[in-house]
Amino acid sequence: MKGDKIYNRLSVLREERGLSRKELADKVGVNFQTIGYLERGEYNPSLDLALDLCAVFGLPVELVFSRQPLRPLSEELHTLKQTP
Amino acid sequence: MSRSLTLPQRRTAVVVQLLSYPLVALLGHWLALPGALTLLAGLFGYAVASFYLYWGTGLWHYGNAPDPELDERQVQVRNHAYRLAYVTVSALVILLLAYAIAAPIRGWATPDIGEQGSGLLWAALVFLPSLPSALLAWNEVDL
Repeated sequence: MKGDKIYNRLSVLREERGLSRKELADKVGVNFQTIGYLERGEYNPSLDLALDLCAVFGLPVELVFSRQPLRPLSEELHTLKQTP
Repeated sequence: MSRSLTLPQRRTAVVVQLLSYPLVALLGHWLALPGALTLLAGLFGYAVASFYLYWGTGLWHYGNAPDPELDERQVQVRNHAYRLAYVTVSALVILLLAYAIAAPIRGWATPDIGEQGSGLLWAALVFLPSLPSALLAWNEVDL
């Protein structure tokens, strides 16, 4: 069964934390190639894997994964600051 | 030790691996070579291509490993490869059965169970176990 595309910020978050694909893969227990597939949006993770990835970054799932294309984090932060 | 092959290299090796035996067998038949010589040449081609494709690449393990040794995406991709392999083998079996039924009626050639029969058995022995791994080698993209 092929689901809808799920967008994510994995690549940005991983590089922000100075992690290689292999290091991130080891933290969540998958093959490093799977991280590449996830970052390119060619594979949608299971809920279990998605939650593991969010736990590594310490972020809620809606900041890491979305059904709509994600805005840059800086833009998101700017919007949050403007909100009273 | 681990080594990686590019997608074109892998696809070339898969073609050589899967077609070496049948092509050599056909060539041997046309040139009327002894069956044992043809069989050895075909198996040699298969062995060289398999060694090149699977040695140190992890692809053989990928195609044959039990589920707990693979991650969720790899299990999904491996299952897809098995499904494709099943469809391919089913189609081949149906074609062979249809041929076996039609051959005596139409007067088509059938293999001599002795020499050519053992060739067919060898072809099945080399083709079937490597098919899922070969499909994975054909489909996985370069990273």
